[in-house]
Amino acid sequence: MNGGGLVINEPGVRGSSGGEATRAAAFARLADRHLARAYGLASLLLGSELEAQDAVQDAAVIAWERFAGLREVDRFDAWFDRILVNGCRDRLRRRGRVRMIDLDGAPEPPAADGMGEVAEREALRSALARLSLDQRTIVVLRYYGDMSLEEIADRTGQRLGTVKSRLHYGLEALRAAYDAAARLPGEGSR
Amino acid sequence: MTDTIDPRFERDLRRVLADAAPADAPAALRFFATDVVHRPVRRRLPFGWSGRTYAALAGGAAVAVLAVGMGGAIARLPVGLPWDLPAIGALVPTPTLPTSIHGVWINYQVLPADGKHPGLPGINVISTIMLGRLRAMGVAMETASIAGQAPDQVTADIGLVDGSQDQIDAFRRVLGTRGRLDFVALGDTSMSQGDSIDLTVHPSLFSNEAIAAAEIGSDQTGRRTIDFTLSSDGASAFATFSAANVGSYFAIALDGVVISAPLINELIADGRLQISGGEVGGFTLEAAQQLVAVVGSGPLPFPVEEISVVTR
Repeated sequence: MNGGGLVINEPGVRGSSGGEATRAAAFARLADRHLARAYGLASLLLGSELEAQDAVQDAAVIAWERFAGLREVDRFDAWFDRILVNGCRDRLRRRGRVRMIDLDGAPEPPAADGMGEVAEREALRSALARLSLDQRTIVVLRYYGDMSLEEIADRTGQRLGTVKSRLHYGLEALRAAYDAAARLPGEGSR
Repeated sequence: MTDTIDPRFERDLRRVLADAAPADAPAALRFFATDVVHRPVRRRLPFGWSGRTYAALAGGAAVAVLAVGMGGAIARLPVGLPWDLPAIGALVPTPTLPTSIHGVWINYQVLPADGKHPGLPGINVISTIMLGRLRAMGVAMETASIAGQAPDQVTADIGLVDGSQDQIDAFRRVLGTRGRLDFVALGDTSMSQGDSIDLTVHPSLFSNEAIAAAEIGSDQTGRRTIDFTLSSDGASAFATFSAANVGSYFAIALDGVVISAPLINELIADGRLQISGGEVGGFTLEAAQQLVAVVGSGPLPFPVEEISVVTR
């Protein structure tokens, strides 16, 4: 479908102001639409909104440089996330230590669904912060980023088997904390 | 290894993550990320290349290099010069600049101090201080960033609108200066602005930690001044010192170079000091603004040395 003259994938169009302008407009539109999600992902991975801003900026610069190489525009979000995740991993490696995600700052959701559920979510928050960096990254990419295991393997450069294993152990640790909170006396049981 | 995950657990996990993530990107980030399409594509200057080689390879695009020493040798720049003495002008000979300057990258080497290497914490502190100094110079934070690279380098990236050599040199002065201020008792020795001071001979009474504020002001004759307000500890120390030393000199030195060396006329009880510089009209506006910018954010924990300056 050619949407109103937005021709994106024409590597031959160089120096033609029409082609460049529409390419730029397309990138700006796609980036703008995806930005909130990308920022959320980076914030969760890095544990800091300030660093997430830097990481998203860096990813945007690289993505623009490589935009001509993107074959399918509907892959933009996943493609951008890949650049972003790689950048976040580099940042985390350079930090050299495990960073605890500050999930305690999150506003408490309304307790309309009962006391027990609040305690379980609280337990999940703490347990997430205690996961290893790799486990937490994979959990975030799966349950916030909605990526398939293959996509996660692709974006993180890990083997599929490693991703599955880390996800398994990460979820196991989270589930243990979750269930323990559910069993606490007075917190309600299911 | 398949995980059949409990739907309620999954729902709660997703909810926890969604709640912890910020709802939307800040406006400045949104502007920047979509504005990348208007910026020239950045090329990192490989360390060690001469400016001439790079400019030739860049094919004369909107990139020019202020060569640090012509012909390929990376020379050491005398950054951290004392303020404004005679107009310093361009710190190095410059080749022709492009007709309009949209921004500048200033690359610094972070040097060890007292036998210690900066490490990542040192780099982070330096980045924060440099950003504070840029902010004090009126640079909008969406247009500037400071990034640490490798184990001991820092790059300042400043966007400009019709930038000039003078603007760039002002940034180079302010960012490249370590910024240690010392208040030094001189006794009978009189010194002039620009003199070097040996702190082993003339020990420092106090330095940056005693300064609560530094602002641009003017004295009764209308000369431009720098007005320091000392912290309460600094003020009482200075009150004691000035009471005992009326008729002596003391100096305020920046990184070991005197910027003012007045005579103490009287006890100064309120911790407010005003210096006017050596020139007839007092400090120039540029010198005063730069000095205030440097002092306001505190001294760099490690000295920095310019590696290169690249305009775009």
